[in-house]
Amino acid sequence: MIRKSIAATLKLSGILTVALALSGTPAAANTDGKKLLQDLISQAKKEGTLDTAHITQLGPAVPALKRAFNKRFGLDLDINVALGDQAGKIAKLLITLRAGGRPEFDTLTASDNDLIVMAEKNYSMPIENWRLLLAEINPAVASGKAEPRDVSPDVVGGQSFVWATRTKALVYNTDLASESTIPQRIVDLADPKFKGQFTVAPWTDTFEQGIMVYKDKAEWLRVLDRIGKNARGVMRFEPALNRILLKEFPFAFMNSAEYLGVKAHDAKAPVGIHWFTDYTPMSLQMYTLPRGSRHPAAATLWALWMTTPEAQAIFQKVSPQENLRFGQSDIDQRSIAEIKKSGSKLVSYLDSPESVQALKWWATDEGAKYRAKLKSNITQRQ
Amino acid sequence: MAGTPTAFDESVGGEARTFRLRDVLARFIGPYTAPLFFSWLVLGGIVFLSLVVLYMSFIPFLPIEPGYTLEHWTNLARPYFINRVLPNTLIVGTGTVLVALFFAGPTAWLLNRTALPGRNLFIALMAVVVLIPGFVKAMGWILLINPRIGILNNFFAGLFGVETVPLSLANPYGMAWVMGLSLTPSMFFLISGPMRSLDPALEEAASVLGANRWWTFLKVGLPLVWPAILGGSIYHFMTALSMFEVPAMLGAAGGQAPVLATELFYSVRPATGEATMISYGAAGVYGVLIAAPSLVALYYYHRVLEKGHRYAVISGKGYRPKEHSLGAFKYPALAFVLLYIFLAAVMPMLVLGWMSLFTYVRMPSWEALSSASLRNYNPEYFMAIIGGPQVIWNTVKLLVTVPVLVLFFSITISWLVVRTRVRLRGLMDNIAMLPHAIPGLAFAFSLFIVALLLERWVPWFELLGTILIIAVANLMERLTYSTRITNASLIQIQRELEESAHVCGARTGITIWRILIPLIKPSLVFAALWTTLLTFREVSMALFLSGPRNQVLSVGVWLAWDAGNIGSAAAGAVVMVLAVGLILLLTLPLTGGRLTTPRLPGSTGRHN
Repeated sequence: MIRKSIAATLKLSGILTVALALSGTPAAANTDGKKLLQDLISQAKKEGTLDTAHITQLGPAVPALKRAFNKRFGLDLDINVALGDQAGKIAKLLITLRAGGRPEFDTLTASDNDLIVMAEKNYSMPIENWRLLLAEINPAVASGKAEPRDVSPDVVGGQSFVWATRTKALVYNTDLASESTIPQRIVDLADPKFKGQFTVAPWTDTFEQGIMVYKDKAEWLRVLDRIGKNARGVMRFEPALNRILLKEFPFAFMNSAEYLGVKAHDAKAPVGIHWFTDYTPMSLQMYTLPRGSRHPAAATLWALWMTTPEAQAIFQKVSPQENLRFGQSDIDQRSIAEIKKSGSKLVSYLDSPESVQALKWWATDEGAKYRAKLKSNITQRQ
Repeated sequence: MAGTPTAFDESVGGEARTFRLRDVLARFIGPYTAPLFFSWLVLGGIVFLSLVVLYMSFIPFLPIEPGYTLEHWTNLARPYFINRVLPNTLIVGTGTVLVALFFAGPTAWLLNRTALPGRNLFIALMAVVVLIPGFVKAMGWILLINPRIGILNNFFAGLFGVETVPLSLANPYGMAWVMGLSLTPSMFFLISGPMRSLDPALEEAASVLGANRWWTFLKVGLPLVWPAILGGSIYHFMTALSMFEVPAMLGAAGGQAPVLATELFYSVRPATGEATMISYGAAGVYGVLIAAPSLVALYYYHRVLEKGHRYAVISGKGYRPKEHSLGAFKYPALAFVLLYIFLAAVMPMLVLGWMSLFTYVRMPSWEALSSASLRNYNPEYFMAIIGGPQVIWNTVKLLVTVPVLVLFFSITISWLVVRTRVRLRGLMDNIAMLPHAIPGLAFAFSLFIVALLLERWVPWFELLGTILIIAVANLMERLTYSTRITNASLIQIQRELEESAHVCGARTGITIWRILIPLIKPSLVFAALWTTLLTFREVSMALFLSGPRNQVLSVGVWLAWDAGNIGSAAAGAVVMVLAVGLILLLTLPLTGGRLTTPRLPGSTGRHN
């Protein structure tokens, strides 16, 4: 028996030794990570300020986020958080950097299809040793529940960091429609029987991922033209949801977070959600650091900290922004379960090398022209 | 031989002449130098930014990059643009002016020249109407008039026993209606100043000769305020062309009734995923297209201004503006004013108040009332929604800076244009009108580009992301309206007053400060109040120029609405309206709201 236990111990030791050898020197890496973090914190203290942005829905969470962030790193930074108008901010940022100017924001959030442009044009600043820093800051990464590439996908590795995901589904008024009377697939929105019963959003990312499912780009444009003609008009998600609640029309294609937000405030609100059976588009919401940021250390800490369960717990109390990529909260797990149950296929730009190519394609001139045609077909502005 | 430490000698033909420094300066600095300098400083800026807008329409992207293109212009030859955007824009512009004149003209006369009860309160409410953001009014009207959910539609459907009343605002006529209501106060204030200042002696003379009240108004009063009415119409036509919020809300964003202003907005403010689709070149084209008809209108306005001396009514003699008794007409007049106030202020405020009690939009009902709360008014929550306490401080800074700058430059420019014969004064006045011909957003992106390039060349001068850049944008934009007020006021003052002062040895500055300004003080206070209100509610320029540190309250409220926080946005608008309404009531006496006698310095204020 003693021989068996000695043999087992030796075997375990051998395994551990090999594991340690294969993983490098985790003990040393931890020390490096801690040191890097301490250096970053010291630098951030000297900077004293952070200028960043967030989505408007999380406005009420900003004071708590600021307090928690400063407390987490022992800082007392003056943090300015501008809300809303993500795309407008990115557009101005692109122009500013193209003109050789300094960005107004140290770090800001945007979706993957905007941030790929920044990465392709080398406008984002990669964070050195980001994996080590991430492991120090994000306990989910440190514990192995999330991989570094879950947080910062390879295509934008070290430049942008996921703090939430956005999935889109059909949200409908349960007094006006039911699961059996609404479109089952995205392409069914082009069916004449649904004419005038929904609105479409003015932005293109609602339908962009369709090219990865339906492949034929020209045909996809024709489908979107029919959808555009079928729609009763173009409306942003939020006013569309209000109109659905007011029973002006029965349904619209929008972020699932809108549905979750209504239900969080009023569980009895007459709204339902349907995950399209052909595919469910998912985009990543990420923080990035533009080149020339005035307070890079503070910005790095903020961008990495926003990916943590601690930050998520704060903002999900205010607005149920899901993280279906590596989130562990109840909201995340519920949504994942519902999508699985519906049989819908979750499609994002980072599923495969092919989808990454599709994401990069949007940043090309050809992609930009296609996007313009896509937009005019959806909005019927020719 | 003459000579002092500050003198130098010049021999001319053997005779020495001494020049003093002050003689040299006196050659170049005259009574008009300072006004000309300041006027051309701001007017030069306006011209430069306008040229940047034009220039952007011919280049592929940024001014610092090579190449020119006509693509932005050739893109206009699309059926969508020619058959829909252009005609819609003209209908909206013309309709807006007609609606505004319909309400503003009679209201200005009733509240300034008659004994209508409650005048001060109505004037305060007119200003409150301004403060209600256009998109909120539009939202209120959508709840009122909509083929499916409109309260009025359902009411009339029930009344007539039909299923639905197909009345809709999602067309150019509906937009003109809502925008006309929205711009009526602006027209009202533009006309009010000159209307208050009419010399009753002229009306009394007509009355003595047997003219009745209506004939006197039509043949004496109306022609005297005609420049203000014409100027107001031109001004508001241009305003309507460049207004974005209401058309977007009522359907232009949905492609149902696109207009130039919404096309401009979406070309510089892309949606998510479309950051690369921003097109300043297209925005430049739309900006020029909006400016073109405005410039034509401007020409005709200038023609009227040239005949301004015929409308001089304020002279060296003392006067007290006369209040007309309305007799039996008092009640219909009251009903007319109340109708406008209800349509333009009460109804939107009721809708705002209702919406502010909920997180999501609920139609009025007893059932909905049971879930109402004051959550959106919680100070901590409210501050978080609008962007933090810094937003309030930024707004205060802006509201103090802009009116002071605007008044200063307006008086300077108007004095040169109306009271002097300096060269190019006509051009100066036209340039002062130019910002209004060019949409504010076009100015904003032009200013952004200039500030961006300035940062490269003069890195120590920080303009981007500061309150200063928003203040400059508002200064340019508000100058037009303010100079119309100061022009119209100065036109009415006869030159004999200034000439008398000069004969007595007063310098130009003293004459302006002690004689002209006190006489036109009511108009100046109106101009300052109006500038403050418009700056307070202005959102498109402030939104575009917003950074992490210079966000103002209107942007906070807009973004809350844009993100679907209708309840919070409504609460924000209610708070804004209440605060400004209170300030207006407190400051109305400064405007002579009680029709007190305007006094010249040293005057007893008695009739001659």
